[in-house]
Amino acid sequence: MSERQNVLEIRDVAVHFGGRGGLLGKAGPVIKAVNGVDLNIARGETVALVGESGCGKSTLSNTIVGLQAPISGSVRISGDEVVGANRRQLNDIRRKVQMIFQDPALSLDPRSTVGATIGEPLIVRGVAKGKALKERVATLLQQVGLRPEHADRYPHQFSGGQRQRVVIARALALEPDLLICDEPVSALDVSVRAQILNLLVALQKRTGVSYLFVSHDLGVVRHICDRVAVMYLGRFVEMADRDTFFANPKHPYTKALMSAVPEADPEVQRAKQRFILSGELPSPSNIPSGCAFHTRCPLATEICSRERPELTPRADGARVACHHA
Amino acid sequence: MDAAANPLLTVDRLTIDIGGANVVDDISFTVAPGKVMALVGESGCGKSLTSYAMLGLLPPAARRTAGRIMLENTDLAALSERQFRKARGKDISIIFQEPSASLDPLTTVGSQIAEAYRAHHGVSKAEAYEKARQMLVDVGIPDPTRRLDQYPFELSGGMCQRIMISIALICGPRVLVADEPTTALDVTIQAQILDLMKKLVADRGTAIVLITHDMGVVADIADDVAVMYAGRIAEIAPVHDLFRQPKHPYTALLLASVPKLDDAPKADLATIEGTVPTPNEFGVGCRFTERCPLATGKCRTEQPPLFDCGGSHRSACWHIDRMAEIREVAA
Repeated sequence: MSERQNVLEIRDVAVHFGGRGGLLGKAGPVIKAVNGVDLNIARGETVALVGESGCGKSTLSNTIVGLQAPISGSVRISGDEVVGANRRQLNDIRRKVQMIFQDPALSLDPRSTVGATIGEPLIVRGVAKGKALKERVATLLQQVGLRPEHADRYPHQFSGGQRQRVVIARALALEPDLLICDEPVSALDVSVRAQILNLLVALQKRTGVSYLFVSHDLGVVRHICDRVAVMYLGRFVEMADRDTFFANPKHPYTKALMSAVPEADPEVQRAKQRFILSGELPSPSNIPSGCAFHTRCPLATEICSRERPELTPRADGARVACHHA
Repeated sequence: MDAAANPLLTVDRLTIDIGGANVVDDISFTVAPGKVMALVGESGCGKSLTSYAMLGLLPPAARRTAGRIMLENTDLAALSERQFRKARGKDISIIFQEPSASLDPLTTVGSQIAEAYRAHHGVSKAEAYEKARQMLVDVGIPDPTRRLDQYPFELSGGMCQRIMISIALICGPRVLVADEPTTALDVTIQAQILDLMKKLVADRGTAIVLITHDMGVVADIADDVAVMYAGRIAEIAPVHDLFRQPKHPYTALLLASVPKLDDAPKADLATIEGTVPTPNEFGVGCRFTERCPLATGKCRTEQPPLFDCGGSHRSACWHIDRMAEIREVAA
């Protein structure tokens, strides 16, 4: 990967919340959302970030775009350091990284036309105005499969899938290097989901944009991603190329996730060997000692509660943090 | 289908009107005890309205204009609100998608479960609490005595959904309507809740009407499936038949649009072009016409009935014999 230029380089990032005195002077618990994470994304690459609510994936996304300051570590986007950047530097960096979210209805201003919404970043950055702006918006609309005349309509006049297209057009307006997609198809109907996934693949082929694809849907991940990182309580527990990852998952948590996702085929699904986790995700304010997963892990032994396993490379190139996998 | 042989719940030609449009149009299906019937479809297909009608919970703008909902010999749709109050919880119950929105944040969960029991049984509070505690054991909540005294915000999403299931089941209803019960949950918790529902069906013989859009959930738990589109049943079949041999273009395309294990990465997924028609766009013919690759003139002008495809497999399509063409489109 080193010969390719990395659009994202994360080194040892940790993000904690709370701990200081609250309103009444009482110190709350420290919530350790992200605990020492390394990640590279190359140009044109799609990396999936997989994990359940509370695993820290949204905190990590927010840290990458500079919305959340880490307590330590470094985040570089196309070479520029995000951590500690001042307002002006951040403004420049944010041209190169954009974000799209799960629910397009919540990401669009109901009182702005779609054209104004897509054009706004271009105006703010002084990229285009007047006729050039209109043309650029028309091109963007066409790129995402909408028509130029849609620019005059309001979000409520569109379906959910069309709204997500508008959100994507706005995110691409400044031609970012990296697009963070936070569950971009989870709120959409099944038939529309496929349209948006096809669109994301086509846009990447055309523009070379990289995606950090946050999702819990392993079917979608398998379809769209080159590499997969699994997160549990603020750390990566497994990271591998797609084919390796799906052919030979190693971490017990990864296996549990895979067996928990129901396959859309009753024969496969009902014959599947189930690996159901007991219990629930522990609180990030009280992370178990040693391997954070040991409280729910079927393979856990004494060492797991004592020593935290590091991500170590395996023969097939996967990196796994487990004493027993 | 054994459901037809010995149905517990029979929905018979149910039609629901909102503002002059039949948003639920002539829906019929049956569910036998201990069976799971899945109603599948995308937003606006009428699956949730159908389920609300079963509980007498239709919004004010919606009106049942035809059809019956028979729970054995009682027509639920004909009950007065007062009569319905006696049936809800005892004969038929519902759980919703978002458990935290369905629970009272200011009341302990124990009191909410006990209240549901006392609404139908004249017992003391202590007795109702004991019932509630047993119920928590049944739904797999550890340390139930302590949990009874907690408030919903102290519990996780999966835990809250177990509480909802406890409230729904404490009076031993024969039918449970589950409206997207796992959509708001993480996948590992979803697997736990689906397993719990399977266990309840097996142990108590509860009949479940499961509303979902997730074909994976259907494949996991359903015995029979009704695929709904724009207020009508497009196809209804035993679960294995539906997945193996879909007989409606909509079902076939829906199944093809879900990424599969053996798909080439980043290859184009099958899509269904266009969007679901709104009620004022419903034509006189098949409502899927505008998006259907098989559509002909007849589809536009004549509504297809549910044709018998053998077994208890039925499909509302004029072109069932041309399904091979869909498989080409989808491939």
